[in-house]
Amino acid sequence: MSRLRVRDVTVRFASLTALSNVRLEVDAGEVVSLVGPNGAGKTTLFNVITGFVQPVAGTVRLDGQRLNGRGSARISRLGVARTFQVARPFPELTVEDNVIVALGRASYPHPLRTFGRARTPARRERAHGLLTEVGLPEPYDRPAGDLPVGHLRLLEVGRALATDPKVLLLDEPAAGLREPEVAQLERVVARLRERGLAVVLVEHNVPLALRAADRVIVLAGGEVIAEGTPDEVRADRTVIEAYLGTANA
Amino acid sequence: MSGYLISIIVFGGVWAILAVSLNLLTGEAGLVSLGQAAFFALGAYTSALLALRAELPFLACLAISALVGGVLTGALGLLALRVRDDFLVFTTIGVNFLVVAVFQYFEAFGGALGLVALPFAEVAGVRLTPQRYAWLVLAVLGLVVAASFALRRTWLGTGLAALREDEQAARALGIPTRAYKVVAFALAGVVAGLAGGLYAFYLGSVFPQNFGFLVSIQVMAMLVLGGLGTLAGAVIGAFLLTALPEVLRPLADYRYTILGLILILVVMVAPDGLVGVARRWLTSLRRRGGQAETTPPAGSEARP
Repeated sequence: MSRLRVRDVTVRFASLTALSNVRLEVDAGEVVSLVGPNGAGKTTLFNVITGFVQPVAGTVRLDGQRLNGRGSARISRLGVARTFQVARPFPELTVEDNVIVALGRASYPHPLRTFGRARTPARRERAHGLLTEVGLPEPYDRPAGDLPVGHLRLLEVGRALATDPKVLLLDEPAAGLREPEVAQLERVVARLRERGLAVVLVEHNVPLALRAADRVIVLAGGEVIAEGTPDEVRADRTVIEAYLGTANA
Repeated sequence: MSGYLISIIVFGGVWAILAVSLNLLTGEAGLVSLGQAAFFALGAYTSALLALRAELPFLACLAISALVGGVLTGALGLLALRVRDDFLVFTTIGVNFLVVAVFQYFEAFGGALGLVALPFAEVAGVRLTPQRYAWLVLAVLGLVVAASFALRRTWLGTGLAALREDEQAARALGIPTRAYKVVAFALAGVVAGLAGGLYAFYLGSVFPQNFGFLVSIQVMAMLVLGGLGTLAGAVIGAFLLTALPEVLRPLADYRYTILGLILILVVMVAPDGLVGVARRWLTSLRRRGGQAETTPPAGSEARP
């Protein structure tokens, strides 16, 4: 059984059909890249999976358990983490606290544990470990709002990992990163795959998207127009016309 | 202590407790309320009714005021879930007018004539002198400030901070933001209920006009003047604005004009309030003192 299974999801905003019968399956230890032009519905699909947008039809399941219809917080606690297209750290909290916030998924909904102490030495150490892992340099005690944009993205990845997810949805994590940071991000994604995470990567940097993925899904106009290994997709005429056309002409 | 000083301490203390209550909502959780006087009224009327009709002792009245304040304000917090953040402030204003109207029009609550002649506050059979009452108010203030500080270290406090900064991102990290909003209202209601009970017993009477919309504005002004989001700011702002009209007694007619001017000035010149100004002043003082090498604030290292 696939870890994450999206079946025939359709989303409409007023008269616009944002997604139409979209299917997506991701296994544990697999990286799937989602590519497509702006407005193809990539972020909308993330919003459906994480419960921010309700589909008019279709289902989303994690290990067979239905996700759609549940609240975003619950979905997160069940093991789906995401980053946002525009990095959204908590600007007034410190870098460290941004990650510690994400370590409380078992305590937040608990009527007693919610009054427990959040910043224990062990959690601070774990937060520092995650920040080091994603390649964010110290200091970690300054407000996150002071970080440059590339570092905000790394922080968001670290924060998402802190929820200890089974599925990680990365929405353009490389946008605004410099070359060495992109390489670092690639290493992080590769490590997560080895660790058995299911990763979905939305990425405008097509070479990166193809390099990092086991499978690629191409979305255009809210529909899946191609799916396959990176090599298959690279050779697909439809894809070249719809999306890669100008670059490969 | 002179009677004058005592009344400043008691009123300043009660307003400070109410400002801490507002800070829980607006400062910690980012939920802007301009109806804090209504939550205050719930506590004051609960104490007055229990003391007059059920003849319960002072401390029991106070405890039940906190409880009733928490439950009813928490219930009103459910309303907050129904409206978008931008409309929350209007909703709380509406609640303020509604609560005052209920107390004003129902005879059971004393109507426009209010509830008068509350018994004197007694603890264990000993009547509290005004001076003792002032100490009690300060003790309760100390308690709610300490509890507020402690809250920040908990998951609840951390989650509320995340909610304040970015509600969607907070939800995406597993924080049950809807439940947390209701809890924030309930906690603010407990603290406002305490303030109301203390207020009712000190005055010995409660009237609907004690809890009008202008009172909510005044509490917000205290918090903003002191520094929104800081507990020191809530306390300093409350005592300053309590003492100020007394000091400027000749200008009493212009009270709300002066209040308005202060608010506009603070928001334009120092949006982080007096505490923010003090912090910046201390930082620059420390840097000028040539001690920058010990603990430089982030991003301000001197580069030769």
